[in-house]
Amino acid sequence: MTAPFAGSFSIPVFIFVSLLLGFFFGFFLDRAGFSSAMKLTAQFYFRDFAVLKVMFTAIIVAMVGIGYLASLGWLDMGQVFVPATLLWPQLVGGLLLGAGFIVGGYCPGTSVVAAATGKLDALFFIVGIFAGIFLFGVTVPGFEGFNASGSLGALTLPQWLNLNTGIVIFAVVVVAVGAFWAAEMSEGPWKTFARTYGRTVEGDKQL
Amino acid sequence: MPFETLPIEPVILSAEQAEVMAQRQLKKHHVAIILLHWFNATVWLLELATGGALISSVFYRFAPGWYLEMLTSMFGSRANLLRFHIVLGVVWTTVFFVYGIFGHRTYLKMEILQREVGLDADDWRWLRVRLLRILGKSREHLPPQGIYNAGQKLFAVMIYIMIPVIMLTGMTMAFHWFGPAAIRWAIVVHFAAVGMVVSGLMVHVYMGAVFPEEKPAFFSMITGTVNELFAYRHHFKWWREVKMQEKQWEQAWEREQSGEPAAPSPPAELTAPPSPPQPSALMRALRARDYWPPYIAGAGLGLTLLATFFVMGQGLGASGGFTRYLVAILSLFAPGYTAASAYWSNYYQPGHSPLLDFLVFEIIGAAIGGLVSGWLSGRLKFTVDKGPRISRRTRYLLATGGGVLTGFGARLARGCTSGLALSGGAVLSAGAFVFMLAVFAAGFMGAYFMRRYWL
Amino acid sequence: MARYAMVIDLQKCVGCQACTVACNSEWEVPVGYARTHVHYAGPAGVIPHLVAGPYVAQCNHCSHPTCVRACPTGATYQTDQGSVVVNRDLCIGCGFCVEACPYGARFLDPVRNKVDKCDFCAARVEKGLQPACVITCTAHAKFFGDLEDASSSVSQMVYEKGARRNETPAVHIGPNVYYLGRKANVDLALASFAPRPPRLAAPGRFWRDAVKPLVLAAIGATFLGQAIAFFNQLVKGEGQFDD
Repeated sequence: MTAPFAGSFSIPVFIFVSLLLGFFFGFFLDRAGFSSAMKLTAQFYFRDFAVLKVMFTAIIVAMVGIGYLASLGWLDMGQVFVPATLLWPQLVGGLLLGAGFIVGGYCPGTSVVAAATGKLDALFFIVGIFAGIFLFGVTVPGFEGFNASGSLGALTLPQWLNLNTGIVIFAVVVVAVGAFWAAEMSEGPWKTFARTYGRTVEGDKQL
Repeated sequence: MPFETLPIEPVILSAEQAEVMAQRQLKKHHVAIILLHWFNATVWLLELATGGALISSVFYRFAPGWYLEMLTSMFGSRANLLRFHIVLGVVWTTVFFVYGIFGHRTYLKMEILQREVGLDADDWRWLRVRLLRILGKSREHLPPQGIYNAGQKLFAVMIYIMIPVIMLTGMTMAFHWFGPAAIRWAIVVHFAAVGMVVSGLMVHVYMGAVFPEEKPAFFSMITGTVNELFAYRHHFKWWREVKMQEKQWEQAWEREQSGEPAAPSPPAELTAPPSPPQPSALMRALRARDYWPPYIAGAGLGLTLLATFFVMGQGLGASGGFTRYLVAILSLFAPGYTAASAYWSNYYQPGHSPLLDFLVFEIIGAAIGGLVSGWLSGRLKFTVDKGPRISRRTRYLLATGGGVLTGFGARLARGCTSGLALSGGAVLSAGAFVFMLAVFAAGFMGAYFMRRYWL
Repeated sequence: MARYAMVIDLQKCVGCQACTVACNSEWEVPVGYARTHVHYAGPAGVIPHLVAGPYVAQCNHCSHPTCVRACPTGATYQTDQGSVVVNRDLCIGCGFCVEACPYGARFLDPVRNKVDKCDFCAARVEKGLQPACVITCTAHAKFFGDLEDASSSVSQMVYEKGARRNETPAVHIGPNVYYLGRKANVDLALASFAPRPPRLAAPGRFWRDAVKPLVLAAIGATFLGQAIAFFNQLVKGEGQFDD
């Protein structure tokens, strides 16, 4: 009886559990304010580092939790899905997604939550995502070589850097805490966001 | 009567007022409650003593060896010890059930539970101030309290939850209910629940028996009464309720004496509640219009992610779910092309729905979660989230274009911010960190060119 | 002190299951379960060098039993004679020991809802009788006695004839059931029914690794907090609080 359990679920249980986990995913995204493009993009104008803080807090919590559960032997790491590393596609894909983020104001997960809370622009963003995925699916035969380049398999940082997992976890935590500190420092002088955001909401009322 | 009019807030008492109040007793506990309290205390003492000696495995046990031997020799054998533990537990459960059946009309009513265990805003504030005062960090006055203070209420809430858990798990073990797997978990839950109560119980006993401030509360569990001064100082809101009741009775008595036919309406000061009911801290957090602090929301998101890995063996995601929806639509219109395409066929095998996937349902769940969260905060509204200088139409165009870039990029990178950066980051995937750096780099660079649209 | 052990001569064993039947009727084991059972190993190898034969499975009464530590209540314990027995009055039927046993020698009796297994016929041995399976064995293949008694048949078979235990490099917890016979047969039987690694069931690990430390930490923290408060109270005196 070691986790994960997904393989042992019947279909109704599987659907229910998926919905439930998704519920909390969406709930916390909205609570963090990620259902607002203004809040999300303020990150890139050094005005509100919520994206960085939420994301790295979540990564730290999950990372430390997974490490702990795995060390106790409750979580079979052999069955946990580690995303494959493909250096070049992921680098370029990240640049494209980052560009899409700052142009469109959302990323795929947050656009769902934003649409659910009534942001009409998020609906357009979602349509765009579908179009982008479709575009990728039909054009990928043309750059199959690049799409598979730099493949390193399900590589993890400890394997890559040839370091102990505990050390890497610790290092990530240290870097993240440093980033939090830097974010808190730099947010101080930028108190204008509240005003800017307030103006947007006002602007909407006139539309 | 030391007061002409009842104070709304606690005021400093004069010496003679305090003197008079110290002499008067107010009834606090019914005799049935007192009996139940001491019965409960005795049972807890005996069950803890025997239960601690019952756990003998070196893996789980906490009592020292000599204690196990002492209890075993006191009871003759370990089997007798277990028998005693079970019989007493059954008697305890039975008494509580009988009490529940006969007493539920009197004691288990919602408004009484609300009054005795429901924590209001004053209570949460009280907990904070109390803690700070104990640590010597604050000299702030404690907010006024009802018939029980917040600490007592918090303990009561735990007791109310844990006692049924302890009873149910105990019965599961004693009578082999629900099969071996349930029994295995029952032992653990039984132990954990008792452990939690014990750590609260220590405070409870300390406060009752050792802490000088609360001595009258301890004696009230014997006599059923507390002196008015103590009530005034420690349970001001309750004291006020009692006083208002007394005043009403007095006025009714005087009216009856003077032969007035109709009762005049009581003064507004008496009918108005001392303070409007305040929602609890949790409810306030859920209903908050502001976003949660990023570290709190991040921790919640992290725990969700952890649970997802633990249960499903994979992380959260979004773009993968979008892809599956797209494949499902494509396969409706062009099943042949979809199955033959090198890319789409990764997600589509004839006879196997592309929609039977975690991310597909997770997205729906996320939409519901966002909806519920927005609804709780009163944030649901059809709006367009955009910079002040652009029109709605521009925003729609940009959103669509950004969506296309995002969708394409996410597929190229094999995941999006949730599926690769967040979930991959948590399992220390090397690619996830490369991706994260790229996203932030492009975001910060793009921000310069997009500043006209956002600021 | 003594060290009870059993020796089973696989060359003599004819696989008739008389031991199973005798044991089941002696101890009223429910239908479908058995404290001891004859399994068949093989055939293995190529003609004409085929190897096959019986293997008698039962509780090994290990010197370092994994089941004893897994049992929360102390229902399973080791006697002074070295055998591992179950006190049914203490057993709550949780099955932690079933998971812990590498030999699969334990089962949960669905009638009594308690765990059951071979106890080397403790009640018979106390009366000076041999275990039921030993006296029933049609081929006289089972021997029971005290290993520490040099004159006993088991100690001669173990120390002189080289009877072997069912151990692997991974699992060696000192079983006290020994097997005799042709090397090829014993090799095959022991390889076919090798012990699996002992397991502590998930709730047990959760209890031992998380719940117990957390509960102790919570109680410890509360205690510490109170000690500090009590110290404060002593320092300040009672008058301070009666403001």
